[in-house]
Order: sequence, then C-alpha cells, then structure tokens
Amino acid sequence: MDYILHVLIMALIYTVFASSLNLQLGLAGLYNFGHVAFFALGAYGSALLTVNGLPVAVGWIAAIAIAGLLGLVIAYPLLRLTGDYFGVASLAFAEIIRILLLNERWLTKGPMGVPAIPRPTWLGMPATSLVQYLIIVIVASAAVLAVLVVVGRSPFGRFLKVIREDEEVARAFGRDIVSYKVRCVMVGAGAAGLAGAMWAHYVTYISPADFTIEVTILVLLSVVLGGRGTFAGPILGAFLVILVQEAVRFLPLPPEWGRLVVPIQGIIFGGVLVAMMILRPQGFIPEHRE
Amino acid sequence: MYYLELLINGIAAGGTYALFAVGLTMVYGIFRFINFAHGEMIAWGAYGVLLFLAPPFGLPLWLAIILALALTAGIALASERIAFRPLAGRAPLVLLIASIGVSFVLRGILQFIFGADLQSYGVEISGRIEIFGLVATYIQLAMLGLSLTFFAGLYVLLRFTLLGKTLRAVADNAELFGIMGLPLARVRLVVWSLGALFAATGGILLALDTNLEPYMGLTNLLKAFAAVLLGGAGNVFGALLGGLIIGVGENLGTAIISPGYKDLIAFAVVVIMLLFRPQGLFAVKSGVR
Amino acid sequence: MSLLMTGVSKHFGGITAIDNVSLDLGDAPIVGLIGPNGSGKSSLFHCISGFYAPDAGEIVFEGAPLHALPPHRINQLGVVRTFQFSRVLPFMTVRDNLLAIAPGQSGERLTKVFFAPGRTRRDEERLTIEADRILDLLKLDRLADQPAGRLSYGQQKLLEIGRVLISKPKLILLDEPTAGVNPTLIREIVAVIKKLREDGIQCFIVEHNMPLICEICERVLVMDAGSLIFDGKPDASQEDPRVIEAYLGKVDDAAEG
Repeated sequence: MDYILHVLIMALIYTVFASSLNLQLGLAGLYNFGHVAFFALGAYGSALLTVNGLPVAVGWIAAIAIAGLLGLVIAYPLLRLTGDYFGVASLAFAEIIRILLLNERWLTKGPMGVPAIPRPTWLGMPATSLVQYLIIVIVASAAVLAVLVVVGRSPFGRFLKVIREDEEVARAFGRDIVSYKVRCVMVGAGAAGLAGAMWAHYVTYISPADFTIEVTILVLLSVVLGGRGTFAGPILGAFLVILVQEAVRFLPLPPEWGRLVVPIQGIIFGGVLVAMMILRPQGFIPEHRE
Repeated sequence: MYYLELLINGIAAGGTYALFAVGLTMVYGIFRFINFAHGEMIAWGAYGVLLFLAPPFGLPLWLAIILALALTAGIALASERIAFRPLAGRAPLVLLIASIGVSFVLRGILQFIFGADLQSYGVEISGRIEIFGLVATYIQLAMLGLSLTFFAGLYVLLRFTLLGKTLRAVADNAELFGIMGLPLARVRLVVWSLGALFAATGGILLALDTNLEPYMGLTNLLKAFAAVLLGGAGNVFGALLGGLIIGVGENLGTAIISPGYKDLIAFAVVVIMLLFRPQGLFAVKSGVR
Repeated sequence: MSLLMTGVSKHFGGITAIDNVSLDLGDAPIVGLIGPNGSGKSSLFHCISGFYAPDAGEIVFEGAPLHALPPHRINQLGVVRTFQFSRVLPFMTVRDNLLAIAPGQSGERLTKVFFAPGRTRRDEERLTIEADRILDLLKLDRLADQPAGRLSYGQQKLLEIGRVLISKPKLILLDEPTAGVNPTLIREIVAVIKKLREDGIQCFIVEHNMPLICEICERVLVMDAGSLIFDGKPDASQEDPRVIEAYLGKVDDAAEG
C-alpha cells in the first residue's frame, strides 16, 4: 500500500514537472534541456527557507517565485538562440546551476545537501503520513495543472503554437515573439519550481547530486513518450516513467544486484527514447490526427 | 613558473579535449546534428582497455588499447546503424534526442558491467621530464604528442586523399549524399570510426592520467562541445585550437577561481559562444576543414 | 499613405541583391513588381517587411523608419505581407489560422487571461465574427473547421490573404499570390485584390503573370539584377527596351548555356 502511495506521489510531482516542460517544448517548441535547473531552485529555495523556520506554504510559494524569476533572467539571453543551440545552451546552463549549488556552501551546504526538510503542517501537526502528503500534493498539483491548462488553451497558448509551427510567420504578424517565449519559460519555470519544492519536502533531504542531467532526461522522456503538445500526454508519460523507474527499484533482485538498478533504468529509458524517435516521435497521445 | 606549469597542464588537457571534439564536430558538420552519445566513446575507450586488461583476457596494455579502440569504433558504427540512420533527414532535434537516448543506453551498459566506483588501470606510467625547470609527465607528453600526431594525420587525410576531399565536399553540401557515385558508405564509415577513435584515445589518456568513472564521457562531452563551438562547427582544426583554449583557460583559471568551479569555465564558454558567436572564433564556412 | 524608399541596398557576401533602389509608392492602389528570377523582388519585400536589414538607404512608411524596425513592429504599423510559398499553418484549422494571428486579442496577455476572462472571451467572439466574415469573402467558409493542410494550394494562398486582411492592413505586400494556383482560384484572388482597392488598402504585388499585372495594376516597377529599371504603366513596360533586354538577356544566356 505504501508503495502505491509512494508511486502516486512521485508520479504526480513528475506530472507537474513534465507538464511544465510540455508548455515550453510541446506548445512553443522550445527545447529546454536545462529544465532541471528550475526544479532544483524550487527544491533548494523552499528547503532552505523552511529549514530556517518559515512555514512550508511560504516555502512553496517562494519556490514558484524563485524559479519563475530565474526563468525570466535566463530566458531573455538564451531565447534568441534557435532550436538545437538553445537546447545545448540550456543544458550548459543547468550544469552551471548545479555547480553553483555544489560550491556555494555558505548558502546551500554544498555536497552535503540540506537535510531534515520539514513536511507541511496539517491541522497543526507535520504531515508525516504518506496519505496526508499525497492529499497535499494532489491539491497543489491540481492547482498548478489547472493554471497550465488555462495558459495552454488561451489565445496566448494558441500563439505559442504559431511560434512552434513557423517562427517567421509568427514574427511577421505583429508580435514580439521573444516576449512570448520568455513568458512561456517563466510560467514553466514557476511550475517546475513547485514540483521541485513538493519533491524536496517529500524526500526531506536534497543535495546537488539529485539534480543532474539525468533528471532532465527523465522529464524529457515523460513529455516525448506521452505526447507533446497535449494536456494528457505529459500525465501519461510521467506516470509511465515513474512506474518503470520505481518498478525496477522494487524488483526482487538479490542484494548484490542493487547497483544494477540505475544502469538498467538508464538502458531502458535510453532505449525507449530512441525507439520513440524512430517509431512514434509524436508520442502516445498525438496532438493532431495524421 | 607556477603559471607555466599550469600552462603545460592546460595544453596537455587541451590536446585531449581536442581529440574529444573531432568526432563531434565532424558529425555535426556532415550529418548536421549534435551527437550527445559521442561522450560515451570517451568512456568506452577507457573502459575497453580495462576490459581487456582484466581476466578473462589479461592482455598486455598495448594490445588492450588496440582492442579497446576497435571496440569503440564498432560501438560507434553500431549506434549509427541502429539509431541514427533510421532518422536520417529528420529534424536535428529529433536526432539530438535520439542521441541522448543512445548515450543513456551506452552509459547504462558500461555501468552495468563495470559498476559505478572509481577505477584505475593499475598500471603505473610515472616518469616525467624536466626542461628548464618545467616538469611534464610522460602522460602529458603523450597527450600532446598523440593529439598533434593524430591531427597531422587527419590533415593529410583531408587534404591529400580522395576520401578526404570527398569528406570536405559532403560537409560543404549535404545534398551530395543523394548523388550516386560518391563512396557514401565509406564516408560514413570513416567519419564515425575516426571520431570514435580520436575520442577513445583521449579517454584512454585521461584514464591513464587520472582514473575511470562511468560519467567521464558525459562530463567531457560539454567540454568537447565548447571546443567545437570555439572552432566553428565542422572545423576540425578549429576544434584543436578550441580544445587548447579550453584546456589552458581551465587550468590558468584555477589560479584565480576556486577549483570547484573549474568545470564551469567550459560550460560558461558554451553559453557565451552560443550567445555571441555561434559560428566560432574563426568564422569559416561550414564544412570539414 | 505611401511607402518611400531611398537608396536602399542589400548585399550578401559578394552578391548584390538590391542595388541602390529608390521608389515612391505614392497613391496608386495596386502597384506591380516584376522582373526575371533573381532580380531582387523578394529581397525587396524582405527589406520592407523587416526580415532583412538594408545595408544602405532608408525605407519610410507614413513617417516610420521601416529599415530600423523589426518585422513585428512593421506589421503593427499596417504593412502586412504574404509569403512566396504558402505558409499557412497546416495543423491548425482554417479559422484558427486567422484567429491565432489576429490583432487585438487581449487574451494574449497572461494577466488578462486570468484577471479579465470576460474581456478575453468577448475579444474572441468579436474576432471569430470577423474571421468568419473574411472566410466568407474568400469563399473558404465551408472549410473553416478543416485543418488548413487539407486545402488546395490555391485555397491556401487565399487563406494567406485572409491572414493579411484580419491584420487590418494599410499596405499589403503580396508575394506571387497566384504562383502555382489553378486558373479558377486565380480569378478568386484577383476579385479579392480588386475589392481591397475599394477598401482603400494599397497593394504592392510581386508577380510573374504579365496578363494579370496588366489587368489589375495601374503602375508597374521592373527590377533586374537588383536595380529598378522601369517605373510606369504596364503596357509601356512591355515595350521598354531595358525591360525587354532584362528578360531576353536571360533567355539568351539560357540558350547559350
């Protein structure tokens, strides 16, 4: 039972994380390979504030703000870049963030990480039970997903699709597309920040090693697998990815095989990514009927 | 004196980065996509030697190296055949994502076989030379020497052989791939195996100098990409210079900033070059030169 | 209400695409721009619409310096263009192709989306009525909910004109509006262009179809190798020796080569 709750919590967190990437990648065609940076900043932001006494709710709101602000800061310079260059630049940027988190020990405690991150309080007591945390995550996720849906379905979201389909046409019709892209990244970043905060308060201990490029790959896989540009796609993708990830972890492997979990996950995810690109690049849930 | 030592370290490291960068820049120049899995050629080169050194092979170092190089070239060709050729003609981003997948598979297999701990060859190649009070280890000399030798060989290939001229022609105009009569299969073979060989050599040198860990490919990939960007996509000799600049910059940089930020220099170079001068410092037309 | 170009030049490496072109579009409702392939017609349109920055010279429209403005600002000033090859968005419906780029949709500002949803909805309704009116004019109304990719090429070119219309243009740059279009739809396009004249919108048309130019333009400009070599009536252009040489010269080269 606990296992199911754990998987549900992780899947929901990743759903928010994947949906926030989908807004950029699926709707606007922005290949943000550094998206883990926003997740990390949300996690660290909320963790550091709440470890120093602030209530968790404040921490989570701050996580959204910090991540969103960073989105704004990096978006302007990087969003002038096209397609794959933006992908690589955002990737480099995420690594820069991780190195900063690793080295600025006065702030982040460096490689030791931040332990004892508090759970949110629930009727006066910390929500230590999985059920309580799940409910909190459901509520927070639903709120953020609702925001993402509204943005995606709005005329703003519609124009993001124009940008994705044909940037020259987008530019030719009276809009400053950099402004659209920046706002898109900001919203995505803020949502990812909340996902990071939810994750940090779930696992209660974070360190820079939790925010490597592997995490970006996982969330990228979620979006690509489930179907970009749709609302349901990232949900399906996130659930699938988390299920596989947790399933491999819970396989009845002999103890000395424990070290094989990570590489097996890597092989499976990598193989699926390649297969999807060859066989069904639009993902399981296609945005258009072909 | 201290700075000269750093300079030597930087040049040696830079030579290795240049070796890493060649395959990346050739594939980008000719096939027009960023091969994220290229980093794993570095790792597999290094680990391949480990594989052949250990039982059940137990081979001498020189033989293990040769076999490791062959193995890595084989892996590169296999990944091209299985993952990239089916995607020929698709958007560069699709290929980039596929290459990310390939890198995960290759790294996963590596970690599956060898585990995640730091390893070393257990072979001591100590020994250093001293000129005018400056010290360079044999391995550093090998790094620089091999790098320059390989690049000289590459130069000969590109300038004076028919194959090399074909390579440069195809890099200039990818549509030539559709024209019959060009030895395209051979071009493909050469580009992918050469790139892997260069990278694997660099990986082996790196492992001899330091140690092996499964992420060594990934960590050096971005540095290789920084060298590619400095040199201009497709420009292999630009990549050589780019690698040297990164190596020297990193090592001299440690005199100013804390060592923990050493890696950040390469990443910062990537971002800055992409923002301000994506065509490279030397701004030649695309192609393989 | 006119477009004024003075001394505009544009080079690409060793190639001169536009060579010291000056023109005053004046009040003529429909002006044609013709010339052999590679004479710089599309480059000229790119410069006017902001996709190229001229290396020299000025482009002024109603006092605004177009040569120094990005494409989206130029569009906002009322200079709207179509593209040489159909650039409709194939996966969006025909109507959405118009709605997505229509100006005046407050819902493209995120604050309005969340804090003024009523206004967003009203804008959408107003724009939908406008879009349907335009589709009706273009005889594309039956296809309003179809993905634009299903349209025939000619219908797509019509849709491109629809996109321009919903953008409230003052000056329209039509880049080969009838190229590749079947004759029936060409008549439709011509009818629409003539109607634009009635609405006081000025058209600047690049075309290869000479009979068409003679039919609808009072004035035609001819380019060759980046230079403007003729500016006058369409019939006169057919007799002008420089124009003849520009076209025939190319034919001679082709015959020799």
